[in-house]
Amino acid sequence: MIRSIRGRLLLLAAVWLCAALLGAFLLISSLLRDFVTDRFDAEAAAIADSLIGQLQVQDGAVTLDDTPVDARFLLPFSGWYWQVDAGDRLIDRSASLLDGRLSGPAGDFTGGAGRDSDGAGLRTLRREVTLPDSEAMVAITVTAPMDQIRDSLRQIVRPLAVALAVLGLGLAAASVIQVTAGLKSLVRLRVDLARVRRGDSPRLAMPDVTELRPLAAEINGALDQNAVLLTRSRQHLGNLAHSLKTPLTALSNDLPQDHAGQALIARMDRLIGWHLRRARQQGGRVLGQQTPIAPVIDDILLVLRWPMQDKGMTAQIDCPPDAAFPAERQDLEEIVGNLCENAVKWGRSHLRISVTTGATLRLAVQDDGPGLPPDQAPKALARGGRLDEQGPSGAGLGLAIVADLAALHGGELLLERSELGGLAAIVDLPA
Amino acid sequence: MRALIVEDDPTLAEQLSQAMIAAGFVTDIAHDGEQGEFLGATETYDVAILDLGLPTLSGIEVLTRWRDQGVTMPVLILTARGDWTDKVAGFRAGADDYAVKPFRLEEVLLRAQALIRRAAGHARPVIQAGKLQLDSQLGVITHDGSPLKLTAFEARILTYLIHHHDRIVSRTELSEHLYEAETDRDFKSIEVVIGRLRKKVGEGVIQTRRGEGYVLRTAP
Repeated sequence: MIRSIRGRLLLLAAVWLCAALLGAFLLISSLLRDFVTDRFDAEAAAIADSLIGQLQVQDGAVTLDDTPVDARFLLPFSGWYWQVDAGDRLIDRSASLLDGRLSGPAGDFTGGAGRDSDGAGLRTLRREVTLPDSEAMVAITVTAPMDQIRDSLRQIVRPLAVALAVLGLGLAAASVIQVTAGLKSLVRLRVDLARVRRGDSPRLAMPDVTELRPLAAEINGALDQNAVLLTRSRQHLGNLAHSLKTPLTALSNDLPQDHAGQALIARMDRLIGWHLRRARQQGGRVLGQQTPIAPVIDDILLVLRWPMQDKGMTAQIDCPPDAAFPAERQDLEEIVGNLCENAVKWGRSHLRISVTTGATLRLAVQDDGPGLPPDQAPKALARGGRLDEQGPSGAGLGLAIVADLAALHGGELLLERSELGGLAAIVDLPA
Repeated sequence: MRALIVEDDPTLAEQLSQAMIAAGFVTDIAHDGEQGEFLGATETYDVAILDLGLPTLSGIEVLTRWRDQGVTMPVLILTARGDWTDKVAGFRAGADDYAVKPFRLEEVLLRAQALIRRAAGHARPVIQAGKLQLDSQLGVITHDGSPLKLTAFEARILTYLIHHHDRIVSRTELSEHLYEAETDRDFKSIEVVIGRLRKKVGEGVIQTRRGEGYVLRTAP
C-alpha cells in the first residue's frame, strides 16, 4: 500500500495512461491492418477484373486474350500470382508461378490463409465468373505475398508506436506536474500550521482552494477551543488561589507572629503556589502567540518603579523594537518580572536588560550586586523542584520559576557573572 | 487619613480595618466591586486597599473605572495569585503598589503609609515641617524632638496638615479626610480641635485664612 497521496495519484495516473495508450495502440493498429489489407485486396480485385476483361470464348473454349503486364507477376516466387481455371482445366497463369498451381477453395473467396510453395503466407482472392457465351465457369485466383502486407503495415505502425510513446511521456510529465500543483496547497497548509506552532500567527490563513477550507476552519476551531479552555482553566486556578489565600491571610494575621501555626500557613502558601505553577506549566500553552518584548519590559519596570526609586537604581534597556517572544504574554511577564525583581533586590545602583534576536532569542538581566558564586547556581535553580516540601518562600524561588518557564519553551536559564559585577541571568530561547 | 478597603472576605477586611484604625486611619469597607467603585468614586480617600478578586466587579475593573473618572488616590492592590500578570494588569490599570496574599497586616500598613507620603510628594518616610516631625511609618509626631500627646482626632488633623504643609487646606477638604462615609461632617468640632492643636504646637504654626481654610506654616 502506498502511503503518500502523491504516490497513489501518480500510480493511478500511470495505470490509466498505460491502459489507455495500449488500448489506443491496439485499436489503431487493427484499423490500419484492415486498411492496408483492403488496399492489397483492392489491387488484387483490380487485377482479377482486368483478367476477366481479357477472357475470350472461341468455339466454346475459354481463352485469355492478353495477360497483364506487371513486373511483380513475372518474377518467380514473388508471391504475386494469378491463375485462370475453367473447371479443372488451367487456362493460363502468371509467369511468377512457373509450373506451380494455385488451388483455392471453391466459390468467391478473399482471405489470408494461403501458403506459397516455400510456406510463406499468401493473401488470396478468388472470383468465379460464367461467361455469356459459354456454359463453363471460369475461376480467377490472384494472390499477394503476406510479407509485403506485413511490411507495409509495420512501416505505418512503427511511427504510430513512437508517437504514442511520446504522447505517453508527455501525459506522464503532465500528471506529475498536476499532482504536485494540486498538493501544493496541502504543503502550504502544513507550512501555515508550523507557523502557528512557532507562534508566528495565531490562526491558519484561509486556503484559496475550497476543498481545504473546511479543514482549515476545523483546525482554527480546535485552536480557538484550546485557547478558550486554557483561559478558563487558568481563571479557575486564579479563583482557587484567591479563595484559598484570602482566608489564609486572615488566619495568619489572627495568630501571633511567633505562633507555631505560622510555619504551617507558610507551608500551605508554598503548596498552593507550587500546585498553581505546576498546573500552569503542564496545562500546555496557547498556540500561535507572539509577544513584543519591549512593552513587557516597560510594564515590569512600572511595577518595580518604587522599589527601584527607593534604592536609587537606574535601568538600562537594550531591546530591538521588533523583538518578539514566541509565546504568551504572561509567560514573558513571569520571566522578565522575576529576573528584574531579583536584579532590583540584589543590585546596588544599576541594572541592565538586554535582548538580542537571531537564531536564538537571548534575554539577559544583569545587576551590579554581589553576584552568585558558581557553585551556588545549581542550588538556586534546584529550589523550584523541592518547593512543595522545604524550599524557601517568596523571593527565593524567582530564578527557579524562570528556569522552569525557559524549559517549557525549549530554552534554558544560564547564571553567569555580569560585566556590571553582579549576576547575569540569561534566558536563551529558540526563536 | 481616610482609607478605603475593598475586600470581599469579611474577616480579612475587618483585620485590615482594625490595623489601620490603630494606626490613626478612618476606614470604610466595601465587600464587593460595585460598592467599592461607588465609594472610591464619590468619597475622598487618602489611600485605597483593593483586592483584585472581587465579586460583581473585578478589582482591575474597579481601578480602571476610578482612573477613568479622574480618581487619583494611591491604590494598593491585593493579589492572591502573586504572578506578574496580575501585578502588570494592576499597574497598567493604575495601581501604585501591591501585596501578595498571604501578607502580614503590618506590611500592608507600611506600604499604604508610604503611598500616602509619596502622593503628597515626600520621598522619605520622615516628614519635617518646621519644628514638627512626622514619622509616617510609626505614626509618631514630635515637636522639637519630643513626642506630642494627641487624641486620635487631633493626630488625624495634624498628620494631614503636616503632609500638606505650607498649602491652604480648606475645611471641606480636611473634613473629607477625617470622617467615615456615613458620618455627619462637623466643621465646628474641627475648629475646636484646631484650637487645641495650636496650643500644643505653638502659636502661629497653624494659621486660619478666613473663608479659605488652614495653613500649617513651616517658616515664620
